[in-house]
Amino acid sequence: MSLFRLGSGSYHPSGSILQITALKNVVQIRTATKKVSGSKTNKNDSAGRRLGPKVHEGNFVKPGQIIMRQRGSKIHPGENVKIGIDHTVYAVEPGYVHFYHDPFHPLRKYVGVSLKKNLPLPTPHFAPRVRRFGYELIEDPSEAVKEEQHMSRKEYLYQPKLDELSKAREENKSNLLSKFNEFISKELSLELGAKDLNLTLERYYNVHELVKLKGMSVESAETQTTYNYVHSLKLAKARGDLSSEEFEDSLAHYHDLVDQLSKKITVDATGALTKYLSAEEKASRKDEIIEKLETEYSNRVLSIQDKIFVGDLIATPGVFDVAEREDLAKKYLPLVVPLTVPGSVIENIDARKPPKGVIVQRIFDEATRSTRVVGRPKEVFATQ
Amino acid sequence: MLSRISLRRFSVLGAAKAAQKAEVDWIASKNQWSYFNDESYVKRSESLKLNKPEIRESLLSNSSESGPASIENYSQRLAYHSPVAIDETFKMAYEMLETDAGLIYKNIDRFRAKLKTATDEKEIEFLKKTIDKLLVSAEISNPEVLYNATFNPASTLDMSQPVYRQLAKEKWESYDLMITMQRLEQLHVIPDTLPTLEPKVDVKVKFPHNLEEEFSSWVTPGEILPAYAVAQPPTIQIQEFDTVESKQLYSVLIVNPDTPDLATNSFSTTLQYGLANVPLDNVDNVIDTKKLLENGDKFTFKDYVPLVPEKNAQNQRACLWVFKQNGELSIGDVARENFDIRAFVETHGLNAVGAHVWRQHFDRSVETVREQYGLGKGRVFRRVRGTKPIIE
Amino acid sequence: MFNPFRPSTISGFPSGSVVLKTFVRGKRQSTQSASTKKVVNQLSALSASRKQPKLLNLCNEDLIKHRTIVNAWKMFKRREEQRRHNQLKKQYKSIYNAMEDLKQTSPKLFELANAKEEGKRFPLEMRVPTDFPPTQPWVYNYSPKKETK
Repeated sequence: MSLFRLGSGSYHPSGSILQITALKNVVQIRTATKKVSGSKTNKNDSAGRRLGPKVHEGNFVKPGQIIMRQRGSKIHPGENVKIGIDHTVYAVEPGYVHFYHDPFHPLRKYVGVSLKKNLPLPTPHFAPRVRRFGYELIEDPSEAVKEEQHMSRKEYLYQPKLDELSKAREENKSNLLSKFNEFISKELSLELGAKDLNLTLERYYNVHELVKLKGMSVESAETQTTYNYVHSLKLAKARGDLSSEEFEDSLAHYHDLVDQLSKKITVDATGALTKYLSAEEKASRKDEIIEKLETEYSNRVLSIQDKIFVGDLIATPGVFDVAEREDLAKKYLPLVVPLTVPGSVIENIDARKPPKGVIVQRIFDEATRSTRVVGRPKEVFATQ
Repeated sequence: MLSRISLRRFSVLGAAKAAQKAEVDWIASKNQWSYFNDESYVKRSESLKLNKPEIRESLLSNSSESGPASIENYSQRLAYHSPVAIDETFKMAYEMLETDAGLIYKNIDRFRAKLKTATDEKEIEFLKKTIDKLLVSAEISNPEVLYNATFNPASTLDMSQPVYRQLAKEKWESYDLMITMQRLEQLHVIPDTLPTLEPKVDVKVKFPHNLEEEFSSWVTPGEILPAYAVAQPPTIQIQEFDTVESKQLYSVLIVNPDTPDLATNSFSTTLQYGLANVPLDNVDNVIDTKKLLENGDKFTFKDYVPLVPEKNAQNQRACLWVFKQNGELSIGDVARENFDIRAFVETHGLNAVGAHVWRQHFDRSVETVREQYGLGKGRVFRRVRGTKPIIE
Repeated sequence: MFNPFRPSTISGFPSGSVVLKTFVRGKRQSTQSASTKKVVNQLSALSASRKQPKLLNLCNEDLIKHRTIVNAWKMFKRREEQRRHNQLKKQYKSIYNAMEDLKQTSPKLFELANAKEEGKRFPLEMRVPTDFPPTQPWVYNYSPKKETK
């Protein structure tokens, strides 16, 4: 709105009128007014928020102490310092405050807490961090025992389960050991002293577990078991439980025992204890079994008795390893006998009324690219 | 027009081309990739062959009626159908690549002859590197090699062959290396123990004495393990990807940078295990129980003591570092406590090539392990962290 | 993958031929059959990701065969590229040699040949560049077109 208007006076909110006289001079006349209410602007001022640094360069701070109150991150949190939801910067470790620049962010200002008085910040990039341990030692023995036995809720709730597991393991172990004991004393008729017997049983239990559970080779399982014993002897010697002569004696004795046993006992691919077979014996047994399988049990449909017999042959203790067993089982005891095997396909059957013991199958003929219905004897399929 | 020009060019280069063509023909007739340990001029290792004969058959000859041998289930095998014309295309591709490999082998032969007469050390090194590179490029597109490297476990590959090492390296870089470096950085193994690491070898760690499946396999870097699971020295595999001739000596350190030091209210570093002068190469690449049993005393300069964190002392890191040595080291008596790994590396001129880390905290098996190693009863700290500053 | 909008080749018309629609007054009738409409309707309810063609599941051998084929193709392409590169290099060299020759024999002509033509961004009368020279590289009895005026 133009302030100057010709003719009549113009109204001004402050209560004055501008008049233009005949001489074209502007004359201001103040009329009597009274302000009834205040203006709505410039009322937004609030008290100061007391922003700014609360501690200064080189001051000592405690954990949790506020270093800086700010709007936005004017100063970024550096080492041993964190930032709150309203950008309040506070210390997390006790130490000395340092304001610094970080070469990785050259435009930022940082504040950090140095754990030692004369340690500058930032810590060089490749230098080890300076860290505070902070946990205090419990001097009182009874309190220490109490604290040591304290469990988290999760650990506490797991205890019954853990007990159960260890109980089951113990039971399994004692069962196995008694079985092994029987095998050693009856089938091999080895006569060992109580101490040696115990050593032997423990040894083969460990080998069994390593082979069966972890699929380790028998040789490396035996090496590992020997190592375990030697290691425990070394530790006993280091503790002072054994003198060096006793250590040497026990070591020699154990090696003797192992030598003696290794020619008599071994562990199977499945972890079972068996008689030791020399390499030649093993090879000849292998050849024998494979030949038997090849001549008598291949390329024909096997009856259930035959299948059991073949399974037993493959699982002959101490002859084949796991991979070989799997291969043999795949070859001689397939899940489904291939269509090419004679006697495994019965042509021209009534699909609605198949004879007893015959299963109807629709098969895809690659040659004619069509499906046809055939019957297959029950024995073709592996029994689960 | 095109034929006219090529004819003209042929007249110039004719003789050379014909000779080259004859050579290509001769090499093609030799079927490079089908020769193993033969009397022919290239002696290829048997390990470059696909190790399962039935799969080799089904890969190299046309798909048979019975379907691919890699599918074990009979009905699935019957139901599988190969893409259209893959066999014919594959045959063409195979011939092309094989001919190319033949030319590369010819080159290798030339370099080998040069190597025999070379005397300058630098030249010898250059020739060896070149031969390795060529050996990789001659075999890297061989489908049998590809099959072995893709579908067989890495432990069964013959690491004396540069091509398998190259493929294993690619696999390592694509996952395991990244995991290792992430854990080393996030857990501050770097720079709390050593400033940094330029990884050159694949380091794997396992504790084979464990009977639980959970703890007996390879440890993922950064994993938290109970004390009983680490009660005996670990098996360490150090897979080198460059060619190692004869034996290279390595040293291995396990340090714990988180041992509480109450005198300063800070931490000190403890040496938990020290091995030096361990001879390894590309194939024989593992420090296992057998080696430790036979000649562990020869290269162990500090016996293994597992980490046994005390109650409320928080997580502790077992940082394993692998170093390449320039020569045989003689390490005297080293103190276990307050071990300065940086100074140790400096004085012995060691070159860090790989690292690994696992973590431990207090658990119920710590007490037993302490007893085994004769370490006495552990201290107990307050559950809540105090506010006392570091003592300078 | 069934695509209802693909011109069908079985319906009697060869693909690509135009079917002229005759105008029918009244309610618009769809040309699609009821079964097609049903399929279209059903497909519209499926998200695009479910209409993607199935991922090829190759057996191990075929995967390796596929990779081998890709390797061979890459090698072929690389060689082709290399050959082209060598050819261009040779062409450039011979151009360079010719110009050097010209420089030696007639500096004046060389100057003329290299004279900058102001205001000309690209000579419109220039032949499209080809890999090989034309069958008739030079027209000896060339006479410019007579202007008809």
